[in-house]
Amino acid sequence: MEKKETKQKIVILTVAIILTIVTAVIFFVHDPFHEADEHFGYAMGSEIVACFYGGDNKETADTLFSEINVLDTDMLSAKSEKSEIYSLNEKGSQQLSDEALPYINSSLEICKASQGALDITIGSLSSLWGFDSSSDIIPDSSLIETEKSYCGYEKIVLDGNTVTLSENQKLDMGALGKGIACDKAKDILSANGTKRALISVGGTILTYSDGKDYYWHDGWGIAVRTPETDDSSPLLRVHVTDTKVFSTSGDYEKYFKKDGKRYHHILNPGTGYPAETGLKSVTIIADSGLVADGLSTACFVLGREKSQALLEQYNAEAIFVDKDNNVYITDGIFGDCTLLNDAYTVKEYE
Amino acid sequence: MNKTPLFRKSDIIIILVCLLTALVFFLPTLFSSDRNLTAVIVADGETVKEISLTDSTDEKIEIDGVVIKAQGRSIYFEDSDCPDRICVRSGELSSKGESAACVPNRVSVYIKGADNFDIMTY
Repeated sequence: MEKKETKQKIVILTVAIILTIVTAVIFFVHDPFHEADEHFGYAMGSEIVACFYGGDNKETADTLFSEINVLDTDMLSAKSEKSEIYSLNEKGSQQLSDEALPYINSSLEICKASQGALDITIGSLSSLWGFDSSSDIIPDSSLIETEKSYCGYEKIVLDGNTVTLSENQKLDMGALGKGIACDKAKDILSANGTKRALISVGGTILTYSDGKDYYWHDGWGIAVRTPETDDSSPLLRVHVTDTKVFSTSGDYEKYFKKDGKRYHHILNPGTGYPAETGLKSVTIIADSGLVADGLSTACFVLGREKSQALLEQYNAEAIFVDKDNNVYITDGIFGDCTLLNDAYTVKEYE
Repeated sequence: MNKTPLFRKSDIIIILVCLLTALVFFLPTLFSSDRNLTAVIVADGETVKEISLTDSTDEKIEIDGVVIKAQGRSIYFEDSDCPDRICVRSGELSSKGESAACVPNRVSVYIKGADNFDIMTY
């Protein structure tokens, strides 16, 4: 009898102790008191959100915002009069800085690999459409043809640091700027010894990890937006634990409606008109921001089937959402995704 | 009958301490659950207002050229004097982690804390 009671006693005590340990573990893993240290800035015509995990990060955040701003105003912007690209567009030929040149080279490689689906020489064509200035006029078809004829990444001549454009050609790094900003952010975080951070440059996301394991962090859930003009709820969630860049191109952000048809801002350099490949959005996940950004535009223009070779070449993962509300996810991230919007269906990737 | 009690006083104290500790750890987890939606309005990089979004929320905030409306469990840019009005077209925010911004006026709104996800790509 006494033996039985001792046994009961041990069981109850053990349960109480286990209960305490389990709740303590849940507490420390989820850490409801431990909120991310959030900072907000503005650059590249976008809001920048920087979330840090652990420590005081005000200085790192300020460096991040000012460096991204300088990247835009002094290097990449086609509108800022002191930028290298502005000067190149004005003069037709320009010696670029050692920092700017690799961005141009890597961008041109994607232009080539995508057979012109991404074309950074689309500058005058995109100004004609005027999505950045909220124009809602369909340009005259003869003007489109003229501006289109000036495009062509293969016409650019590189000689050392000197870049020479062909006649009337204008560079537009708009499709890649936010991704390049994420790459810049990655360098700054690494130099400042940041452990974990999440940076959003106008919706292009950098998940940053210093590569070490921390008990208080088990990765992030990155949501992909539902690609509708009137619904910005999450479509699906991707779980990610290491340093990656997420870039999304969709037809819902900058657009205008004319005669019942929607004209969005992602132009097909081949036709001169908004790309029509049956897609609503493409999200790319890659190690490099420049690649993620460049590929999201290129794959939107190419369509899902034609994008496969490009994704393989750059070792990138993708989420395609088509106009029939089908979601296609590449194998490498399929297991990390959870659908959050019932109106969409995840389809087998053939 | 001389039956010894199952627990001595010291055992009961141990059990109570364990249960109380468990409760202390459990309570914050419970209160940080999905039921609480808090919208945060940020102007020029600084948090200017936090609004708890409940079924009875009905509030209008005018700041730096924009009008933000919090109604029920959602919040949205009702009006803005900016040229592109992308903020107004962003529509209603109602899930944790969602955000919208009026870049020309440097005002943004996001819904705090996301159990569902941390941030959104768009």
